[in-house]
Amino acid sequence: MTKHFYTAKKLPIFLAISAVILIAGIVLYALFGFNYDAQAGKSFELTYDAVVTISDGGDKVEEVCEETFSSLGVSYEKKFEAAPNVDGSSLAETGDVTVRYLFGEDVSKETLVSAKETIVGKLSSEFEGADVYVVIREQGAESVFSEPAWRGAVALAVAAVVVLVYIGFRFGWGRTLTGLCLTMHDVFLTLALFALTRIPMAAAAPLLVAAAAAVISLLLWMVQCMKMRETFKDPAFRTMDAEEAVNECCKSSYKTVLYVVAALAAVFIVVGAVAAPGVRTLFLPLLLPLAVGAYSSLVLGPTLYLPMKKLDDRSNAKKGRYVGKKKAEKAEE
Amino acid sequence: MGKVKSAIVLTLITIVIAVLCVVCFVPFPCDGNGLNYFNSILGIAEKDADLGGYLIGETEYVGGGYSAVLYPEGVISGRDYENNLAASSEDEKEDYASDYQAYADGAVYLEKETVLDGENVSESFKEDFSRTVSILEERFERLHVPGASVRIADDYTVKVSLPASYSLSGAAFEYLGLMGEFTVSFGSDEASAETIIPAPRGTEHPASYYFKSISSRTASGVSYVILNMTDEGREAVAEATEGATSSYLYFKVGGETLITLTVSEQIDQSSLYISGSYDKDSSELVATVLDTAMENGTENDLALTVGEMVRDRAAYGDSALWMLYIAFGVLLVASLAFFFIRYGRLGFAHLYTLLVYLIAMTLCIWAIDFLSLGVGSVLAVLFGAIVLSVSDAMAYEYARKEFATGKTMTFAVKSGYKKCFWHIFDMHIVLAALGFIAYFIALTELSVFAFTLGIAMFFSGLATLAVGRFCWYIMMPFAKDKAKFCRFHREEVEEDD
Repeated sequence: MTKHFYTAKKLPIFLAISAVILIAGIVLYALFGFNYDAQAGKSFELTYDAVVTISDGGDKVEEVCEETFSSLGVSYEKKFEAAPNVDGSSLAETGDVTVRYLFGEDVSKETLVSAKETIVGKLSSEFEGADVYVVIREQGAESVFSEPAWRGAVALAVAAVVVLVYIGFRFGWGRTLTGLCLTMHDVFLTLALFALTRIPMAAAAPLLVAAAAAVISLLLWMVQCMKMRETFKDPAFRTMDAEEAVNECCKSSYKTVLYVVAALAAVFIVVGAVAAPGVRTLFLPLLLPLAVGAYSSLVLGPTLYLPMKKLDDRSNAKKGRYVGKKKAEKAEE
Repeated sequence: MGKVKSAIVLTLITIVIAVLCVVCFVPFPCDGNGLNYFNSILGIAEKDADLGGYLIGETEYVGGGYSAVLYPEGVISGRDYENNLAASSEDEKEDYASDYQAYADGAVYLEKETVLDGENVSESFKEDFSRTVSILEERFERLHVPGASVRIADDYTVKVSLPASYSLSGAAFEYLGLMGEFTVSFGSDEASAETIIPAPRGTEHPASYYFKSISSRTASGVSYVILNMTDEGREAVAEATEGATSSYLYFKVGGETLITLTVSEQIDQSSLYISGSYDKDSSELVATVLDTAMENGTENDLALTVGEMVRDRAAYGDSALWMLYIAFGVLLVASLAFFFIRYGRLGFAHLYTLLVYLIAMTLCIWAIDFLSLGVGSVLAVLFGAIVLSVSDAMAYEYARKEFATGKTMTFAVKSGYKKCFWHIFDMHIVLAALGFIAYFIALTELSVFAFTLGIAMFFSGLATLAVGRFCWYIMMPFAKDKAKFCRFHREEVEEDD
């Protein structure tokens, strides 16, 4: 007897794996939340007159700052390019420019005060009469707005249900229910993994990651659904039971799913590798929802679909008509 | 289609795509001295606060954002303190210096009388500041602008940011920082106008006793601020405006007038629709300030002053956008390499399809007001490009299978597209619906991503099913060996002797 990979017996194992990750993720989220890159820390802001005294000397100012920081043995986490100061009402530039460095909590204020004195001294001797002003701020974490989060969750849930109703009409209700479970599973598992792995993310990133997980999950399950619908038309599948049919179908469909996964992975890796650090923090972690989506559509999805197909087959048999017979006949022609 | 017709159509399409590509993606100098510069559509398309923020021309910025520090009353910046001290006469200097105490190593100065209780910051100031921050957070959240942020700096100042794509950044910092009680006064001029809501002192009712809500609406291009009054509010306004001929109602927050309404007859209605010269953003801004002040404002609120304001450049660095374009270029080349290797010169059909899709998406991001180029929209465009490539590959594979069974190339293409039509349609419609439905409910970054995903799927489907197939159709007549053109092979059939 051939051993099948997809069997109803394995379903509890797969569900247990997901449950463990989900529970661990929820606990960690409840305790620590996501690892937001809230840009909190000490902000070293240097404002200089970019019109008269340090005209065209912006590069030198930044060079002096960075040399001083490294001579004091401190390194900044983030540098914000020199930005023009503007007038509050007209938004016209005032002629001053501010360059900002963000340091972590571990950098002492004394070190930054010492850096400030050195930098102001150096710049004053480099540029005669330079009007340089440095302020060291304690910058708190960015406030997280709750409305976009809950509205986003509702939006994704409603959108997923509506599109799955369409999938229900096109591919049957068994596959729709499986798709709904998979989409929810993938979104929550992805967020749980983000909470577990402590991957740093921007404030809006959880929403985008959740949306990306839903898109990937739906896309990959759609590929499976298409393959199943096409394969089950084959007359050879008429005599198979649900388990055998799903196993046979997935033998050919897994390649297509893997091609799509490979294409998505290539995109995320290339953008993550080439793009600037800020963009990278969104694109490289997208490999996580991709891995979850691939696992769901290749392993969990077909296994979850098994009992539904059995039910579907049984109800069709009771009604006295065979699953897909008409289409099978058409295919034969 | 004959060779001549195909050649003409293909040449025309190539010219159109080439011109659109230049217009959309390639900036270039228009004269020898570099004074005049042609900015591509992608160059002038709005960027978000993370990716944008670079100069075009001499003064105009694209994307980026604005940030400002808001100082509560009793707190001033270190720079202001130093400037004020320097401007004071020798006699006044000592008095001025004794009024303030340095805080956070001189980043800010605290006015002793207002903020301090002995050496430390008073508990009442801490409570007031905390309440002020909550109101500010609520106001910035209710703007529903992607990239808006509020954070506390130096314990007792608030740093706020808005993206440059939000046209009212300067005004927003001023308006959203208005704290205090919401009042309505009536009279022939502002100075002599009498407060009618809340009722003159002595009553305990706050403004929310007279107003249910204050919101905004834009219909047929006209924007309104809508004040919904309770019966008591209606009564108070009707009573005050009885017999009025040319007077004014002043709607104020913390003593600052936000709306001046001309009254030429008695107002006796439960809702006031005030249009003025508002646009969508300004009506939302005014309504947000009034509504939050109506709900939470008190006469003891801390007044806020807008301090230093900076036009922020790209939060991800100046090179972030260019790096992203390079990544796109690499992906485009990789996708084309795959199609040229697997499908030979049919790769040109995919190239045209992909270019049409990218041009359409660029034009949409540029033309649609609320869309901007940010990581969310880039992610959606990439999803569209992947689905397009997968759909193209699917269509070519189906045609390959049909051709292998012995059909002619024309019939194989027709049959291949027919067989995979519903697969491609389903894939696109599902993801487009997901995007558009999510867009209607979601806010900020997710709504931008969702809408871009919706249009990306629309153009991806259109490009695959219409442009791709048409390009294949007009390119085919040039090939002597059509199978070789697409690198298709027939199935080998062993014949019995």
